[in-house]
Amino acid sequence: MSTDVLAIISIVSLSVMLVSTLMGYLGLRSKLTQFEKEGDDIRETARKNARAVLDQAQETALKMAQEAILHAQENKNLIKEKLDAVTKQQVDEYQQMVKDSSAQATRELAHALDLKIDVEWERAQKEIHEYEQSRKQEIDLRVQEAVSRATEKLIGTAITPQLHEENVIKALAQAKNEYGF
Amino acid sequence: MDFDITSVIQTRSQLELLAKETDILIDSLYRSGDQDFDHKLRSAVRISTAAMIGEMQGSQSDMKRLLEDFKESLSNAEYFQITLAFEPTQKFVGQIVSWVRENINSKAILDINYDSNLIGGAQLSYKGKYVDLSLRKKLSETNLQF
Repeated sequence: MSTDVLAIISIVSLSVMLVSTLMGYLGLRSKLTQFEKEGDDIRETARKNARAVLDQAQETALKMAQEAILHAQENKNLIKEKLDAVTKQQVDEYQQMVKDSSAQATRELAHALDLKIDVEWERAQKEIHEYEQSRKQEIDLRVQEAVSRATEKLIGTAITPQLHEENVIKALAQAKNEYGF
Repeated sequence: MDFDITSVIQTRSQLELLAKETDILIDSLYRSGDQDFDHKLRSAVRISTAAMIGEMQGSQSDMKRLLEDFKESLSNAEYFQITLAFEPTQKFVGQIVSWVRENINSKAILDINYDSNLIGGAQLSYKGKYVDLSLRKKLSETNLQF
C-alpha cells in the first residue's frame, strides 16, 4: 500500500472523528439549552407558587383581621360577662367567709363564755364548799365544847383527846372479851 | 399469787386509792401495752405504789395477771369498822390498827368513820357482829338524855 493511500485513510478517519465530536458537542449543547429552559420553568413555577401562597396568606390574614374586628365587641361582652361572674363569685365567697367568720367568732365567744361561766361556777362551788366546811368545823368544835362541858357536868370530868383514845382502846378490848370479836 | 397488803395499807381509804391506781395500770396494759404501762407507772400513780408494783413484779413476766391477782386480793380484804366520836390523829389510827391486828385479825383493814354525836367511846363492827360502846349509848342506858 502506498503512502498516499495511508494518508487518505488517515484523513478520512480524522474527518469521521471530527464529525462525530462535532455532533456530540451539538447534542450536549442542545441538552444544556433544554436543562436551562427546564430550570427557568421550574423557577417560574416556584415563583408563581410562592406568590400564590403569599396571596393566600395575605387573604387569610385579612379575613382573620376582619373577623377579629367583627367579633371584638362580642368578645369584649363575653369577657365582661366572665369577669362579672368571677367578680360575683369572689364577692359571694367573701361574704360567705365574713358570715362564717362571724358565726365562728360567735361560737368561740359562746364557748369562751361557757368556759368562763364554768370556771366561775366551779370557783363559787369551791367557795361555798370551803365556807360549808369552815362552818361545819366551827359548829363541830362548838358541839364538842358543849358536849364536853355537858359530859363534864354529868360524869364529873372533861373528855380530853387522851381520854377519848383510852376509851376507844377500852371499847376494843371489851368488844374482844365480851362480844366475841 | 397471794399478796400481803397489810404492810402498806392500814385503812379502807388507802386501799380504795391503791385499787384505783391498780385499775389505771391494768387499763394501760389493755389499751396500748408495755409502753403506756411504763408511762402510767411513772406519771399516774404514787411513787410508793410504783415501787411496790416494781417489787411485786420481780421475775414475773405476766404483768396483767400479776395486777389482776393483786386487784383480786384487794377486793378480798377484811374490814374492821370503827366509828369514833372524834377525828383521830394518824398516830392513833396506827395504834388502833396495831391493836386490831394483834388481837383480832392480823390482816384486817380499818374502816374508820366519825360521828361526834357518839360523845365518846366507839361503835364497832366486824364479820357480821356489831356493838355500840359509845358514851352516848351508855348515857342513854342510864336514862340521861342530851
